[in-house]
Amino acid sequence: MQRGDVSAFHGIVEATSARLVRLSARIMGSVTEAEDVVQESYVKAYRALREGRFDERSRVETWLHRIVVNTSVDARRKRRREPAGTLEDDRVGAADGNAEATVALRELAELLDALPDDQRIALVLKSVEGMSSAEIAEVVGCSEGAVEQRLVRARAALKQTGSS
Amino acid sequence: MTDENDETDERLARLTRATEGVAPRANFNARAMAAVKAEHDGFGWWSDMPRIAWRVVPIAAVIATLTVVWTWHASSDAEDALVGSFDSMEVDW
Repeated sequence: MQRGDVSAFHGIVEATSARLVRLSARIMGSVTEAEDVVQESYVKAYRALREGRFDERSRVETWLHRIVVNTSVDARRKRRREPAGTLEDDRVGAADGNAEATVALRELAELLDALPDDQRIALVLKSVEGMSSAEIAEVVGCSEGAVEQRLVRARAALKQTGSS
Repeated sequence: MTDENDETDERLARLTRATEGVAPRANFNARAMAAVKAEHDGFGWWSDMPRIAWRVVPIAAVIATLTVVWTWHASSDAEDALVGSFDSMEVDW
């Protein structure tokens, strides 16, 4: 795999795509954009494996989570610079009939929209993805204490938004 | 504070449940693998160059340094030998 075996990578995609697209959609608020993010993340991961840049200190799945989170944050920043309506795209994306999920993604995005990226990511990984603080720390590359601090700040910010 | 945290947690829990069904479209894995395959096909000897250079350049630098030192050493030995031969040269009139 370290040398870039496409068929072995196919196994990784099969095993992880559903969870990674859901994670990215919860960050992005859009399934269509999440698919783009995860596809880009797989290409980045494949390139890194091919170039021997995966150091195997973390599990492949944790490493992929990290790439998807970072790529999602980058995509959100890019979207802020180039705003484009995605509701229509999402209706196409939710062609399997999961309209309720599409509406919920939008509500989640609106709820967390005012939070800075680091707090938003910590809250999504903790409260929505159900990760432990240790797992979040490994994914985002900071200490558990920093994760806890981000969660406290995120909740305080949401409280302020809710009361205003 | 606690009530509002509870309210936030409840809202997040509801949205978590509502988004459990989020999934990529049926052809997503095929599209992702096509992108990976395109990346794979784009690899050639030139795209391996940075990785190769990362390993080869330090070794080449050491070899070049040793070669310069050896050349300098060899030329000064030859110069010494030449000076020595001039010292011992007898001039025959």
